[in-house]
Amino acid sequence: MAHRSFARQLRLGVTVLAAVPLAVAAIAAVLAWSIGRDALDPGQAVRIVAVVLMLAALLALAGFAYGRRLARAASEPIERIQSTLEALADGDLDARVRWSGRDEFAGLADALDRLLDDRVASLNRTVRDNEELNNSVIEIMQAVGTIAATKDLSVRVPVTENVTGAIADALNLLTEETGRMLRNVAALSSDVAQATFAVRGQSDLAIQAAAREHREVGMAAGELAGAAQALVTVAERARQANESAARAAVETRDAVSVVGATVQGIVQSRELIRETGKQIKRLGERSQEIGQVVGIIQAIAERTGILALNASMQAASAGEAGRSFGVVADEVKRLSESARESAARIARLVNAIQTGTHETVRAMNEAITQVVEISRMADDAGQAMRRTQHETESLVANVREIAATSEEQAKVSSALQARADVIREASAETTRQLRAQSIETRRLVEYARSLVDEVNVFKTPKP
Amino acid sequence: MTAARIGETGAGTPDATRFGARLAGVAVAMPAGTPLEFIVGAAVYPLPLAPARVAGLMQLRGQPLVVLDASPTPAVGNALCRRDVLVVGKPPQAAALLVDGPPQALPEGGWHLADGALPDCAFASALRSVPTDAPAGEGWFEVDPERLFEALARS
Repeated sequence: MAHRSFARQLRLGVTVLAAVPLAVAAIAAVLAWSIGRDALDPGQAVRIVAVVLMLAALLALAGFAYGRRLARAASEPIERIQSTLEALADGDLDARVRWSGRDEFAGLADALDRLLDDRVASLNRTVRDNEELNNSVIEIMQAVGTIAATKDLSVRVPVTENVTGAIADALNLLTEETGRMLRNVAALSSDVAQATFAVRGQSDLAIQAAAREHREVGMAAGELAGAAQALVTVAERARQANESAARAAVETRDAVSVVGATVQGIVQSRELIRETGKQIKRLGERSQEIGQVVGIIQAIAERTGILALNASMQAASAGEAGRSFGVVADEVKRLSESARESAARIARLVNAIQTGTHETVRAMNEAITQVVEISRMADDAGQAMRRTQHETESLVANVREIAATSEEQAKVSSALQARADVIREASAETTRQLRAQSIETRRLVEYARSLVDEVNVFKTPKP
Repeated sequence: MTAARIGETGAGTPDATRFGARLAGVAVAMPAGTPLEFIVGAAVYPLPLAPARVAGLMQLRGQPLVVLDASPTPAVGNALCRRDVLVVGKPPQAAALLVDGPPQALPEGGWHLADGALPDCAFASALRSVPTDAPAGEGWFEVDPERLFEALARS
């Protein structure tokens, strides 16, 4: 902006004021030099000095007037600025310098007015922000008060865009987490209550079991006393059993010997039957040979019959001359028929013998099979008897050890009886401790219920 | 040797007038005066290019004999076989017939002729029967050996 600068005017005035003495001094010096060289007479010099002084006086007057003008130009804007600042100090936020001009004071006033406009606008915004902040704080306080009064954690603090928004978010997060935690606490409290209730039930059962155990221990102690007496009896019985087992071992050895002899006899019988079977088989083979011979006899009878037939036919063709030959042929025929019948009878007998032989051989084989089975059973019986003998001997040894052990058991039983008394006392103490535990458990149940009730006061948001 | 049953055979008695045999299933009775001989399992040698009725040749005590087959369908073979044959006549005028079994003597009164029509066979012309009223039981067709040979030779 093109304007008249106050500083420039001031520098111009000062320059003029400084040039006047310098000009006077210069003129004086020139005059003095001129006078010294006699180039100028003193009268001229005086006139020149007078002119110079007069010019100097005129310049001084002009400078005074210019100075007053400069002072006035500087004081007025300063006073306006001062008055404006005083009005601001008095609370008039609308006060402004409003100084127009083309110098620095006008720029200063304009800058001051713009500064004041900015500051006042900022101040107004700050005031509005403060009001909004106060409202937000009031809403937060109201929400917190509601939560505290109603124990309702589902209530949410309004979230604004100002700085309280973060606080509201934090409070909402806090109530939400608290609600979640309280739900967990409620669930855990319920579980604790149920578990405690179960523990109380288990404690009651443990008390009943302990009482039953106490009774059982008492009964066991009594039975142990009876058992000690019984063990003495058992020892006596074991001694008697030892004697019986020894006799049984002797009897078993004798039985093993008898069974061995029986097995040997059965083996001999089996061999005898097998040999008899072979003989009968050979007899069957012989009868088969007889059958073959009978076949030969039958063939001879057949041929003889044919021979008789041919002889009779030849005798017939010979007529009366062959009549006696025909009689012979008839006799031969009868002989052949008799031989055939005898051979057939022998064949039937041989077949019967062979059938009987086969049946006998089969029966002998079955007998051999049965004898083998009996022999195997006898062997098994012998082995079983030997095992029985071995087991009997082991039984004798075991019974002997049982007899010895029974006496020791009688002693141990007495010690067990004393130990049972100790166990009975310990069981009674256990019962007492369990009853005390039951009482504490019942208290714990009450505490758990109280905890559930306390937690249930809060209304938690739905998960 | 065939398994001929002796009970079905029988040597001729002095009273036998016929000898019965079975030719191709036909029971025929031959006169007792005809020279006859029954041979079991005779070796029959086939004769190449011989007529169908000639089953082959056999030998009887050194004499060759022609063996005739009276069955409706004579067997044709080129190998030796053993068959039961009935020799009729005296060598060298004798011939052998293939029979189904050994002949048997037919005593007087112990047999009778068959009645009714003659059987349908190659030697029917050589048979004789009675017209009607034959006794119960199996009857026999009486046959003349010479006519039998003639009928077989012509068939």
